[in-house]
Amino acid sequence: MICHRCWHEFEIHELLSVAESDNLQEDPILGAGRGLRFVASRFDRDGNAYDPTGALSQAFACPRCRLKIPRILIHARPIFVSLLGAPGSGKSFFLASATWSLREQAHQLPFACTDPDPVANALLHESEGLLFRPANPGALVTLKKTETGGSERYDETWFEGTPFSLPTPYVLTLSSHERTRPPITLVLYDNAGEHHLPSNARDSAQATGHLRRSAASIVLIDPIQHPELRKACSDADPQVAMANTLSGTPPRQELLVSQAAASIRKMRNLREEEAIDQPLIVAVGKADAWAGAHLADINEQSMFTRDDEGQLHIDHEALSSVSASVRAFLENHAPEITGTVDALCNNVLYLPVSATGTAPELSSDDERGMGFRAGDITPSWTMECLVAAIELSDPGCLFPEEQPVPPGEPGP
Amino acid sequence: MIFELAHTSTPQGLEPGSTGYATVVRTSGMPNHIRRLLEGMSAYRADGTPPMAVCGIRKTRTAGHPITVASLITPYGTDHSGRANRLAWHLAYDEATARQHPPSSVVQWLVDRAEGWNGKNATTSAPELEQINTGETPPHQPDPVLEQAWIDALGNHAIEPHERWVGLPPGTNLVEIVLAILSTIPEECRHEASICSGIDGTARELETRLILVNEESKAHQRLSAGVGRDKVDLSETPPKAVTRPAPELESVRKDESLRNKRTVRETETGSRTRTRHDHLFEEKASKPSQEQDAEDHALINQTSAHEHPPEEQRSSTRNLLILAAVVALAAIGLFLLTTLMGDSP
Repeated sequence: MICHRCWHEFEIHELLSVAESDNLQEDPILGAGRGLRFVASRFDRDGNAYDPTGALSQAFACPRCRLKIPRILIHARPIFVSLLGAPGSGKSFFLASATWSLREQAHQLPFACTDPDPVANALLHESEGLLFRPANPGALVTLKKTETGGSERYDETWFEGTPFSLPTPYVLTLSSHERTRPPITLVLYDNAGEHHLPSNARDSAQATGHLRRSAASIVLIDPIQHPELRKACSDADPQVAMANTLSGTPPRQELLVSQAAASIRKMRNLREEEAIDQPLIVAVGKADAWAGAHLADINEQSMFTRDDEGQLHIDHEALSSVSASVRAFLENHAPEITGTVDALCNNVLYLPVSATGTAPELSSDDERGMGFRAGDITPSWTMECLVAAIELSDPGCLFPEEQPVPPGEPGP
Repeated sequence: MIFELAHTSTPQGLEPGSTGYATVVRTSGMPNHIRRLLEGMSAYRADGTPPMAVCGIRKTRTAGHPITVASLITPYGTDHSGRANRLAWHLAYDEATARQHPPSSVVQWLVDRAEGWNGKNATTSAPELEQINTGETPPHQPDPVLEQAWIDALGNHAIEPHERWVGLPPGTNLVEIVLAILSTIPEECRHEASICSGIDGTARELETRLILVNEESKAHQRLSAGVGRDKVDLSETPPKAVTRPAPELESVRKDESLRNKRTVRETETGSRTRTRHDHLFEEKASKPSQEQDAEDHALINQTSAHEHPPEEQRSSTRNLLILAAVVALAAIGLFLLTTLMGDSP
């Protein structure tokens, strides 16, 4: 099995148990307040380990990083999905929107999305609640900027005397309604955008180590941070006006792809001539600001189709058509992005996404900046983007009788 | 050794190509491990109404060396992307520097630096020591929410090797309270002061002997539910503050062998172990100094006797071992001789 925190691969018998007894709440490496990690040698009839004081312990930890591993990872196959994007591109909005849509539309999909470890997903729940179950639908809401460190999203551990800060991923279970197939554990990483910048590559190696194991990656392109793409965006969006006032050089978003590809090559020990087969979804975000003028109404389009028996399928033609349209839009305004992606990756799909479906509004309170009117938030294509990433990495795992999703635009 | 670093969300950081959360002010020549430590300590969770500033002095280790970090992390309007921003300003220094400067002056220097920042990126020379007051500091006038007797008592808690926390009414200016408490720390204990307002999002283990929080904050809830830290109850009579350690106690602290034992050791796996002498220091504050002193010396002597037995005792043990070995060799030789003679025709 693979640890979802440090990506170490190990055999199941190497798992450490975590003491839950009050007297053993100090691990010699992780420190006080963390239960002692130990190799269990005594078990009860149900296979639960006894700790050295004789108390039952039901939690597990990785033998390398000693951080807790949810029980579901022992039973269900994990699919790691990495999300990349420049700072401020809307990664946290995208994730909250995609996972909420998965939960909300479970009755229409052949699988349900649940939380195997609700405590570990607390931040995700907070974001989902803020955007989609607000106390006051008329209020302006926003998600705070993701920190590059700190105990909220990272846990510190020690490898051979050196401290390491490892990201806390979100873990979701996708299981078929009929329970006829084994469930899939979806592991999502929401890094701060700063971690993906080439200027931080050396310091962020631990935080972005998931690229080594990720089955698929989603690169979120922010059109408003790109000078040419911004011209194609609606001026009604206050983010456009704000970006026009900035004097600094905006981040070069094609370099995020180059940086990620370089990291994957290094971690997987690939030669330069070897293409990266890991599926890549290029998601062009904030589609509410640009798609209206450049694409057919994305809210009217769907990547799913229903057969006569009511069974849901992926509509390959619709998916390819949308991908071709988005690629053409990018090629017109940001050819360096499509050029870089084509040169580095074999298996690419271009999709439009809008995590909120609406533009933010300026708050009357200067200290609060911008926010989205909670009642107006209607995401589009975020769930589809996540589902496509999973299906591309493991065809048929969610829609069993499907043919593999064809790549949108293969590289040369 | 003294370094400063400021970290906030900016369109363009000090490092080429950096944007978003980035370092904007840094002392030139700062080692990478200290830069990473300070950047990692800049995370902030808005807490309380209005959100509290995290301000104080904490201790940790980096690259195997102890280090003191004075920090101020405060809400800082909105950034270029329209989202709530924060500004973190740190000063990292070694123990020698900590002994030179009054901790309240160090924190006040940080507050002034953060308030006076012009928003421009800068590489600075090492902060001028003269800029930080090295003399006795005038006592800060605390918020009237806390009487002077409690300020003195909390000053004592900030240098004691116990972890405590205290809840203060909402709206209390915690930065002012921290400054007032630090101004009571006596000169000989400057380097021991460790105090912080609020809990920031730092993942790293930091030594903070006294934490101040607002009673309606999330940090208050977390500390109330947690274990390992004692709560200071302000409704009680403030304990008599011992502003200076007894001279005898100070002499024990300066005992070189004891200091070596007291040092936290790091094993090769990074685990931290503590010696019996740490326990000795932890109990010290709760007992009358003379009685405690006597116990300290007795324990030191007892420990020394256990770890370094007298020469005579070691010598007699060695002689006994040699004698036992000679007898055993003689018995084996006799046995072999008897066996050989019995086998011969």
